[in-house]
Amino acid sequence: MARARDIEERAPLSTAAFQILLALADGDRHGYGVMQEIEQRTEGRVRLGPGTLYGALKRMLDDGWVEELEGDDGDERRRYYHLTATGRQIARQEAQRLAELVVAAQAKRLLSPARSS
Amino acid sequence: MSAWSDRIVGVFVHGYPAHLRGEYSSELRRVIRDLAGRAEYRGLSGRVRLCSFLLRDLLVTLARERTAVLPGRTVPPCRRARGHADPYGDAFLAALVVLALYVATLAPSVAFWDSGEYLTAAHTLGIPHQPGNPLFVMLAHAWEWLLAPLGISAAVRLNLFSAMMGAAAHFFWFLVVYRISGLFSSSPRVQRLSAALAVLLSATAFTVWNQSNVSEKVYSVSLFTVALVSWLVWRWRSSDGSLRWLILIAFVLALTSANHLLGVLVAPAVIVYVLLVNATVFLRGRLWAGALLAVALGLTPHFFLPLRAAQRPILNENDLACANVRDAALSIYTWGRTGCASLSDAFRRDQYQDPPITVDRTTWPQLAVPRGPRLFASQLANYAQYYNWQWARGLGGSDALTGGLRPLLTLLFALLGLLGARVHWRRDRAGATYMAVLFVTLALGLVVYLNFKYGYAMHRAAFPDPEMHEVRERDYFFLISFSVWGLWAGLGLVQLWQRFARALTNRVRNAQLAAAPVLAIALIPLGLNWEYASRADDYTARDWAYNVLMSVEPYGVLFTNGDNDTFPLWYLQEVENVRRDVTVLVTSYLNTPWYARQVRDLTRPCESGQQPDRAPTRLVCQRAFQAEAMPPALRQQAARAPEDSILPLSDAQIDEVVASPFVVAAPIKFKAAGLETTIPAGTEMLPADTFVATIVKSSLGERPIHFTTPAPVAHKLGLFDHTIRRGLTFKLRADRNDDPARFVKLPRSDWTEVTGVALDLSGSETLLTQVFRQQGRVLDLSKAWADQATTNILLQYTWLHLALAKAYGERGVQDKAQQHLREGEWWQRRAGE
Repeated sequence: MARARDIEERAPLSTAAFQILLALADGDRHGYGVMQEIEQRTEGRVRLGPGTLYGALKRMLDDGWVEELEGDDGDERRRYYHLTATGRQIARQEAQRLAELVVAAQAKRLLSPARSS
Repeated sequence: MSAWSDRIVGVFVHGYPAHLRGEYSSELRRVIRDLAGRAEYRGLSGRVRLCSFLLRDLLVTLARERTAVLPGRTVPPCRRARGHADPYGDAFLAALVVLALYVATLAPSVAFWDSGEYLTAAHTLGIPHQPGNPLFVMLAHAWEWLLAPLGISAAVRLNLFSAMMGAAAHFFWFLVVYRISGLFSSSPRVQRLSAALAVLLSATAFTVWNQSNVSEKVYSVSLFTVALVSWLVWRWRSSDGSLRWLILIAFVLALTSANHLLGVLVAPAVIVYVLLVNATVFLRGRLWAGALLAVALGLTPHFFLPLRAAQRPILNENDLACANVRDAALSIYTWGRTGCASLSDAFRRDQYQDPPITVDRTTWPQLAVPRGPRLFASQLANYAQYYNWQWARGLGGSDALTGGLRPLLTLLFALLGLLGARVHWRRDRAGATYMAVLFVTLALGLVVYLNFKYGYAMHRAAFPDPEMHEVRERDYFFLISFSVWGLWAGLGLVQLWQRFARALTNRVRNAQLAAAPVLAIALIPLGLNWEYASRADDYTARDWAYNVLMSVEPYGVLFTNGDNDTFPLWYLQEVENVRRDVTVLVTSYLNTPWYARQVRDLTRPCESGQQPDRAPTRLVCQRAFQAEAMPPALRQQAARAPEDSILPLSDAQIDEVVASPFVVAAPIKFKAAGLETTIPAGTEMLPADTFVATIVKSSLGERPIHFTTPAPVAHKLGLFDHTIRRGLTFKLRADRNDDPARFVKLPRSDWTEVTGVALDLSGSETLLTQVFRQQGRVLDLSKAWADQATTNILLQYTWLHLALAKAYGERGVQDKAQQHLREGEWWQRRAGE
């Protein structure tokens, strides 16, 4: 489990890093699957290139935020990525940080409060 | 995918930073292809947009990777590069666990086969059989000295040396597998698990285990150096090509040659690996200069052989003394091509007179028949038999060939190893090639090179002649291949676990935990090999040696036949100082001049001032009988120190005998003391036979002369009918008028060959009931007897009881006769007959 200090040192996360963590939060995906999920969720506003994606994934792997699973999809072999407990905690911390910023922005009337439907 | 896209993909992928490209080349290609397959990127304008997108990504990636900062970070992270931080602590812990396993199953004393020889060599700084193994002798001797303060026996200390080497090998295997598994998983937890399972499977492979809990051979040292070299090549690869690692490897390879050439067989794998990773390194002069110096230094332990031989150690096989250091150096640095003759012989292993690998060994040297496909197929099957022992030896254990359901588990571990090899290959072709070359060299390569006869237990019905079979099982030659396969099987098992976990991901909360029971497969060899691999509580060889030596009368000469009736006796004499007065003579060694000279000198009466006890590791003169050290029942034996050597021949006469084997043209009357016999015409008199005849002639009546059973040389010289069984030996009768109260003539039967023609009844009964020792697992019939090739030793007790039964039968003491028959049958059951 990541220590609080480690998490603080890593904040804030880049958009790419946070988006990747979000993409993996609800299931294991391969690289292209991560790209697709981000694109769909952001309706095309965030589109990661292959170098950005794998550069970030490599560091996340090194730091134990995600781990690799062996995929076997017929002849098409892909590496799947799984969010570790550390990665999940980092993502949660980042989301919390962003939520606090949103509250602050609302307090300064820079942002309207969200309405419940 | 169109050719246009392939080229574009290649260009873009090539543009990414090398470390990303190296690790994610196929993924980058796949993603770019996936993008190119999208509708929005089709057509000319789509392609332009795709190129634009990729170009931007490429530039951003290049800039970002150069600073090595995770997107969004303000401070570069302390990078824990995968596979680059060696977990020495974990590896040490793994090695400790392996050591604990080997200690728990450690041989408490000498074992059969070469154990007695190597324990003696290490304890006395002696020289064992070719190639002499100087590195083993020196290291084991130093280790024994280091552990001396612990107060444990010399045999245990020396057996611990082998255990320590086996454990140390697994320290490096752990580090190697940790690095390999870093290619599959970024999780240090998974990497540690992979390394731990690989080490467990390697360490508990039957032969690896069984050779690491005794100093019976020198191969645990070879295993250690192979694992060390494997770790060094991985270090070299991750060191950006530093030459020092390769030079260090050259040094270790030279060093391990002074233990045994088995360790050098890692070299082909190293060469192939270096060629694959960076072939140009071989063009660097500094590498060759450094390696040359390293090899020169690494070969220096070989100088131990001539230097120690010149000091006339008590164990001095082949007498490797050289006239001067220059000749010795020439032999060492030309690997026996020139220089000192005896030392060069050792390098070339001339003693074994091996046939070329193209010749059938089963008929060699009588015939030079080409090695046919049938024999080669049998040799491969022999390897398969040993492979089948590695993972579940105890399953159907009494069946050495197949073993009931054992092949099913063998198949499981074969498949796990293949799975490990497959994933290794997919992630790291150079590394996987290294492991594959290592395995093939030490499995198939050795099968081809060693060119064995039929396996000890194989084709017995088709080829009943024992000469066509190996005298023992030879699995130990292949132990490194089993170890390597265990590593791959460990990797394969982790892969299997992860695949199960993936399959369970959407069904259970913690899929990895749910799939974890599959990892228990790694415990199968530990559980099913334990009984057969363990040497704990096994005193059989020591007790056998003690019982044989005690069967010999003071200052007796004992002719022995081979390893198991010789080496344990050497151990007992030279390491435990038991019955050094007995001259143990390996009959076959008497075909060599060096042994005949040593025998002559060892039995010379001591001159004034000579005290062999002051130099117990050196050959000085006849050693004294110590009545006070004998068991009470034998303390009153008459003992008169001999006045002559048993072989009153000069060096020139010895050389002449060795050079002059002959065939008896006409029957020879052979007389010695009160004994007279005839050597029939046509008898082939080898040098050993002539020396035995000379020793009998010069010593009978002066010294007791004994033979271990069976006694082929006694038959050959017509002496067998003049022997009388005393305990576990046959004693040559110097006088036909032996005390009739002790002497019982046994009725002739099919068993005469093993029981003897006569028995020293009271002497044998005294030995059996008041002197002989039996302890440990041999007495427990529920414990497996792993080595079928040593059951003939157990049968010696059967033959002794049978002789006693016959003798009591002759005397009309039926209850005693029945009792000995029952005890003889018990030993027969113990031997699995």
